Amino acid sequence: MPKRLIGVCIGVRKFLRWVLRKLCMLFPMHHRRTATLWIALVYLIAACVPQSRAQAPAATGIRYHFGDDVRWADPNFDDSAWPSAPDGRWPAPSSDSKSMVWIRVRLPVLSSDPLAVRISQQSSFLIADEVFVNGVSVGRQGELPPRGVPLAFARDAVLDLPPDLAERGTNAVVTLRAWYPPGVRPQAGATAVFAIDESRNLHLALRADRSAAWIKAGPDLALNSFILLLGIGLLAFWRGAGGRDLLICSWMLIATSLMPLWGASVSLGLIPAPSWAYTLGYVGLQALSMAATVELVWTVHGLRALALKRLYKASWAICNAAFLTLSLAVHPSPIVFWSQVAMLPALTCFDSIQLLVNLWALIARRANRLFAVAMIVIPVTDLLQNFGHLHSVHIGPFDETYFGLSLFLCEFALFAMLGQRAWAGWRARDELRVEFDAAREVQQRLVSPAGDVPGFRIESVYAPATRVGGDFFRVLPGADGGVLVVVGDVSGKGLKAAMTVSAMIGALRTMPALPPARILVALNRGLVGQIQDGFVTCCVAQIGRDGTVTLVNAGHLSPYKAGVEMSVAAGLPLGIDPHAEYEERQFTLDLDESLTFVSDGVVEARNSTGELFGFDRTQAMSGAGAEALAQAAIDFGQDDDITVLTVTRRTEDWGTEAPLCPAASVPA
Amino acid sequence: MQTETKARVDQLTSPAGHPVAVLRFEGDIASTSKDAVLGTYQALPKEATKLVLLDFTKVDYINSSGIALVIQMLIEAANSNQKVYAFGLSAHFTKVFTMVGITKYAGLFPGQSEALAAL
Repeated sequence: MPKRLIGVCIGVRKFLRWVLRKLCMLFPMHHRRTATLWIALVYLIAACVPQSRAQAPAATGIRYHFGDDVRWADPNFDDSAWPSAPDGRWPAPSSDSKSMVWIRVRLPVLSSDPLAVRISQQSSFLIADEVFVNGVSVGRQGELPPRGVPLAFARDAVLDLPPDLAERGTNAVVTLRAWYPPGVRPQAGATAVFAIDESRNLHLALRADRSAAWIKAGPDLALNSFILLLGIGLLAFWRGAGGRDLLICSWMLIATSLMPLWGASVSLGLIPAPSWAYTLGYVGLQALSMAATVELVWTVHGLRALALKRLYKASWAICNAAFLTLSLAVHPSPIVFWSQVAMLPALTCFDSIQLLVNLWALIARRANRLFAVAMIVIPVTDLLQNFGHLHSVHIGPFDETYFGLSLFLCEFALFAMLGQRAWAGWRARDELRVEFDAAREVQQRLVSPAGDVPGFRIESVYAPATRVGGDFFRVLPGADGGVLVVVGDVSGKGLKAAMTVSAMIGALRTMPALPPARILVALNRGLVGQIQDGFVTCCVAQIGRDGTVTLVNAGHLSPYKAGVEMSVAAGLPLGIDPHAEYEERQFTLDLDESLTFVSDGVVEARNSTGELFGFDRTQAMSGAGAEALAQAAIDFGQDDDITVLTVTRRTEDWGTEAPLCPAASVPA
Repeated sequence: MQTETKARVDQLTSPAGHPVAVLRFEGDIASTSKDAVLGTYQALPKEATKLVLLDFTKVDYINSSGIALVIQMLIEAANSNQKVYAFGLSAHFTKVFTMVGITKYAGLFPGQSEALAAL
């Protein structure tokens, strides 16, 4: 699913590129990116030009008064001294008037009972109100002070009137008693459409207008649902592909698209959330979206400017804390005042840092130019919106803000860019995985598991810590009926160590007849200067038909004989000193006695507390067989390649001369 | 599971009155410890530092790549005619250091006072 989604998006991106290229041809220039910047500039300028739109006719004869007095609902109250709202818009009440405002309007009654009054408030701010008709309370929304519980959005409501409240041919006095919480008062004022008509007509009109509201919000809902799907798809893709930038981008897309979806769900009445739940949800998503933006910018550009990032985070914290305080405040207080003071500067600081960092990235981070352009458009449109220079675009019945449109375009561009980059990375890793599997197969063929040799029982276990390992061993039957055992470990793990192992095995094939010390000297000279920052430990044991063991060691762990660690001369690992010499030691391996070789992955297996498997446990289990010892170390906590090889001298009828072909060797 | 390697340098004086640089390591020593091990050592002024102590008291784990780094450092020190002693190794890593022949380049001591006295 994520692959298909990314494929579709890459296709759409290609189409947009094609459109952009065609647009660029209109410009007297050939540089595509310069043309892109020009188009972005023209787009932003267009966004700043207000578009005329027919407004719903406002009621005339509206008078308003700040404060709160229930006598103002009386139809005979003389409101001629009240200020009138000639364009139907009344200013926001100040905190001196308890954030209350009364609005009175006289409406002619042209129909008979059953009547209803409709009040459509053109405001998206928190509000609680009560409606009176001819002095009788006919309905309320939210709870007015002193408790003060506002609605998240002022609703468009039809309130049925009691019989005989208003007579046909008279004027009814409609009074609205409204409370705006002190933190979110509409600075540009508020307005409403008032109507009295037959109840059935008004309910039908309300239903029609609600359907129209859904249609009007359609493009916004569709665009944000699309971005939400992209974010979820990116998150699913991240689970397979990895990448911090992908994870952060997916969270940013999810949070940014959920914000307007959450707002629309509550304002359209789809989710009946109380104002505090709406506020918490909205501010939480906003905080997540902004935090993801900070992290994404820093991650993609690989920035280290910690002081700037702290400032960025501080502005994020102040902005969201202020927004939360203002949205939840019921009564005026110093905290509300300071939140109002801090809100805009913090938001401006946040946008400015994002803008400046991405402008810098345009110059200094050539590979991230497109990302920087996309991330510049968001703060620019946000700044224009905050300072009142950004307007809405109206297409037919649809409304869309330029900020929402810009956000959608940028989010889509981000998704396409990061998705494509991650897809390429994922494919590269997949190819590498195939290469590793091939390397493992080659290693397995090159050195097959050890098998018995006439006169000796060989048991081996090899458990690499990664796909391919750096441990190796080889068991070569000698012409005299003896056996040559080589066990080693290349420092490090993975492909680099595995390649060295292959070289070691290849070199060993050419020298089975040499004495053990000379084998190590030859291997050492071949390795010096070839292994950067590493070495190879190696232990070589030549075991004669009579049980005489000649042992030489280059930094490897000593083998165990019958549960006793054998004393070997310490020697430098291979590949360090070209003049290194290795001292041979001799002892006898009796019939049915075993010699156990281990790699450091056994003694240095670590459990979750950091405790090592250690030499004592290894020695104690050295006689238990290769399988048991290796499994014990793995169960304890494997941290490195683990190799255990046991050679047991057997009483056996030698029969004819032992075969000369290699009988055994390494890793599985 | 692996913890970051930290390193710092202390300056002491040997019983004979010579300056001694003590490289104190902390955490795990592995292939990622190149800067902490070799970088710290190479930052020492070669001419002024002829006596070096390696403090492994707070080292939890050294893997084969880490041992390779220590050996590289000891070979550089030998080529610069510096005398190096190590102390604070656990019994396990004392044995590992002995097996890989590190004792050819550096004496191993249980604690700082013994190492300092031997300089």
